[in-house]
Amino acid sequence: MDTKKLSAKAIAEGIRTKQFSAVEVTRAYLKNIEAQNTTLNALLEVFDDAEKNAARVDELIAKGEVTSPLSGVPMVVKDNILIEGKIASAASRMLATHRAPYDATAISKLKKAGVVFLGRANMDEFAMGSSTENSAYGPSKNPFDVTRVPGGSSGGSASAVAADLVPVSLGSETCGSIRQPASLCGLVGLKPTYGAISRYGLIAMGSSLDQIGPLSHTVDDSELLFEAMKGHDDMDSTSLPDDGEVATPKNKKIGIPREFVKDAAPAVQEVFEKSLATLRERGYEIVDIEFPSAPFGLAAYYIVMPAEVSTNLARLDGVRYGLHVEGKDLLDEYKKSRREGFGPETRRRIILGAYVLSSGYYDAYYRRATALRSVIAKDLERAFADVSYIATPTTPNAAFKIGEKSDPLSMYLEDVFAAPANLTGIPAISVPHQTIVRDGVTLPVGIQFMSPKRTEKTLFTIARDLMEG
Amino acid sequence: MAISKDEVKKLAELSRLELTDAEVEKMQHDIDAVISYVDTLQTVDLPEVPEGTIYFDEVNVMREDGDALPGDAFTDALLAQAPRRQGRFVKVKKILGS
Repeated sequence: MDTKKLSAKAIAEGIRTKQFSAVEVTRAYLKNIEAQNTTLNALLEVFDDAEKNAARVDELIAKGEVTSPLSGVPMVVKDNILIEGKIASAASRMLATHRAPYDATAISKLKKAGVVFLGRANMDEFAMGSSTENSAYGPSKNPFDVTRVPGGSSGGSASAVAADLVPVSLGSETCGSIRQPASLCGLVGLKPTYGAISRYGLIAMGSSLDQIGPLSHTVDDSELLFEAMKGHDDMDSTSLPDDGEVATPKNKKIGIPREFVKDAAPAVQEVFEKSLATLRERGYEIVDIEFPSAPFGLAAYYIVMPAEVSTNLARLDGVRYGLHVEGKDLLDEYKKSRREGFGPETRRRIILGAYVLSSGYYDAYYRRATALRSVIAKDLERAFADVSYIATPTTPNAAFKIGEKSDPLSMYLEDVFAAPANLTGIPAISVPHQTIVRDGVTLPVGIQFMSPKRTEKTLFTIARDLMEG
Repeated sequence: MAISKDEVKKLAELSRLELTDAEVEKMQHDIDAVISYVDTLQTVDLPEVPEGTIYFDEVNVMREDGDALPGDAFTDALLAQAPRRQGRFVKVKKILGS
């Protein structure tokens, strides 16, 4: 079967109408993985029970027991989302042999829907990075140019879909980690409203920011996955109630924060204008808006996130689970285990977090960053009083070369457009629409739309209007 | 430099991370660059925001006191993850006396 850019929706439909079976679909994608994963390093593991699980889905479908629009669809999952009995290493040496004792809520919902899990996708260690170069297991490659990064931290998930190793995948975001790789790999990537999808079973990085979300070729697929995973969960106390979603935008106005957009490379700004022109043709009104706090979002993020990282990763001490290194006493074992277990970026963020939370610096950093989150939320509230969407480029540039951004700060700046959504909990989507040429290679770049909390449906609408007309 | 080598060493100690001298130096350099960047926040005029947050519609989530799960629900699965164990205990080096 031809799997090129095949959508999850088409696959489930094909299985339902008996054009092919779930086993045949799984075999076809396993073949793609076999052929390409050595080059791309998108997947850290291919599950040996995938075919067996696909056969079970075929049986359930035959008996009429599974009728979801995702039945039989193969998928890979970022290595920080727990699947019971499978390793979940967060691409860290620390958790190299850590087996998940339970399913993440998102996973149990997808299992019920008849999704077949093919493997776990590479990522930056503990989701810290924008390129997968911080993985303890080597970087993933961008299928558009294997000398370039696929973005990150959900870079394996993006590379896998872009190269048709799977039709769809799961990633997670703390600040752009779904949208940025989606942009760099020409995919749709959704960061849902904070609390829309349960974080139960997602290895925590920045708990007030983290969200699971889908990556896909089509808007329909992202919507199907979002619908399958969303919903209140008692196991996540920040999970939102089931009611409260808004399906229709109040108008077709898109606000453009002009000053903020200037943080993108000139070529990216140019194609961004082309996307806006398309939207105008399709009945949208484009207006300039003020968003004065936006450029400070990333600075606030680099205070809040490390603070939460240093707290969340304190549990990894080589005693209860994870890597254990022998030492002369308990303290020595903590220090040696954490030294061996964590890569350089993870160590950097732990120490940065300890710094901003130090008693003398708390007011200057953490408190100010928290205040800025409120200011951004107020700016957004003001903007959304008039417009339904805010658009920016997803990323300042197209995919960069592996090794190009060796200084940490230049890597951090990749996520400048992502920060406002994560800091305030609103949803945002990256939509593939334009390309730019770098060194003779045509590379995709995405456009990002943000909208008020719980308006994912309106994001799918504008994404469809842009991609499909 | 906004941060001294001694500060880096102290933070590493508090974070239970062993660093070599070369790593301390690199860490000082990297952290300094990030601090300089996040210091742009010091230039923004921010309103006095009360403790607590207004950007999430937060509600307290409560449940009845009592065991949420039966006592043994995950004991074996979780103990199986411990690198060193003795029977139904996690084993650590002794911390008192020596």
